[in-house]
Amino acid sequence: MWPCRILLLLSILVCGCQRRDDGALHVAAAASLTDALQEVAAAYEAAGHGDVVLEFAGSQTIVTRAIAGAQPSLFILADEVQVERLSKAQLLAEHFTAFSSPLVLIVPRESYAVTSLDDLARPGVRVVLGAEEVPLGRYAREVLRRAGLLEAAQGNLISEEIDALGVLGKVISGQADGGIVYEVNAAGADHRVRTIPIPDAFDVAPQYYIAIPRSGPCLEEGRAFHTFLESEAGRSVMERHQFRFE
Amino acid sequence: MTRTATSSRSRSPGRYVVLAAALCTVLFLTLPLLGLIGQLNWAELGRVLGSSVLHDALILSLLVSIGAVALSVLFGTPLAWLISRRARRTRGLLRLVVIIPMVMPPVVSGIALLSMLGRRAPLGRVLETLGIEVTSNIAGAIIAVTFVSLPFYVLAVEAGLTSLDRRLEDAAATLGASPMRTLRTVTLPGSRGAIMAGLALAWARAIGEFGATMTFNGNLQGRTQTMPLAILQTMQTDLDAANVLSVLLMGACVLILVCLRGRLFGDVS
Repeated sequence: MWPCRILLLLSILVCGCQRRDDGALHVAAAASLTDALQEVAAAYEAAGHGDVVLEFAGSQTIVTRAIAGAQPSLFILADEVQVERLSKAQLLAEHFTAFSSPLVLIVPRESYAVTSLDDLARPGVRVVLGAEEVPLGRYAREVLRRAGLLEAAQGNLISEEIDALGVLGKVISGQADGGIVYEVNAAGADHRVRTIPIPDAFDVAPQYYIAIPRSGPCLEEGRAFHTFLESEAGRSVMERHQFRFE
Repeated sequence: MTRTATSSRSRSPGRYVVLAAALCTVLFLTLPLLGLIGQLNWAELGRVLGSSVLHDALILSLLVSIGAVALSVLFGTPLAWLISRRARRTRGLLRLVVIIPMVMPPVVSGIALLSMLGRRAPLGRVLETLGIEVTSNIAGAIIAVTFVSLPFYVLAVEAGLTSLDRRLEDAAATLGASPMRTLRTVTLPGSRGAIMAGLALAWARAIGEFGATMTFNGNLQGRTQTMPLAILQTMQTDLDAANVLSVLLMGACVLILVCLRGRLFGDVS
């Protein structure tokens, strides 16, 4: 009887969250969070909370993998549609809006074909946007729609990209005169592009969502990481990376 | 009679090993494709068949791949011939030039092309002042795809030309044939098999290319979106439709290969 209990106790101690063999907290997050979350995770570990394993991919890919059986302890997704997919698959215990990353207009260095959002609608200007199938593309189109520029800007499209890096690439190389990405992407591109803010009236301030899966021991760990992210320490890192809390 | 032949041959145990290995290879190559077909959502088929995405991308893919193969033949054949006729060291060097693009990740090839032909790159800028646009249109797609698929054609043809018995060419020359006539009547017919293999390899690589195309030329339905790009974009929201597109692309390629088989691959030994 006793050996059994000790074994059980040991296995819980060693495994912590039973789903992962290495006992680490497993966070699956949207690719745009890479730099910021690595820093947050390091701070979380330094605060003595245990190891964190980070996995970055497009929100769509993360959810597809989760539905196929991958079991992270926490999701941070850039797209409400994907949160709904998780929820529909009955994989979620709870979810919250977390923080947002504003959209910005980016243009190539030393190029002045585009100096404001309005220029994207000017004939002959080359525009690159995310594809309508990805959140970045949907948000960018919503900005243009609010500004009354959508149709003209879409007529100027030279490419629809699958992710923000694709949009950045087309602008850095000068293939496009302007594009719309998250502020965090523009910040990550250092000085290879110029950033022009989008007027508040048109910005859709895309939200990120924290989703905690339905699973016994992982629930607590997921919540602990969430709490840390919203704490002063977590916020200051995220804000340094251009994310904004309400 | 067949039975006798089989029984006499089957005595060797090595034969079973070879057969088993060959069978494994066939299964390895076909089962994933059958899986893809097995996952087909037939209800999606009708919707996808009628969509402009499929129509636009399929036509562009065919045009681009044919264009890339034509350029490969036009510019690749002379290079293959040159490589096969050089001394060993030059040959090695030229081969390296051909092989390097093959080992580069396609996305890198796209970036490399941009560094030469992009709108802010030296050659690209010159072309733009002349009013010639070589990116974000069908020309850009053909350039990207040719860069990636031409090496396959060159290597295959060069291997054929190198293994050709040079004495046949010498004999033709001795009999008074001009160099052009020797090329036309001896060299090219003698390497027909290699040329066909090169065509097939280059075309197959061309039709599936998306990394260099996406990076160099972009992705816009009706203008630059080839089938692999359409599949990638559709996959972001609709796996079923992407699956249908993939199977249709596969079907179109099989159909083309079967139609050309008699003409291209029929009697090549």
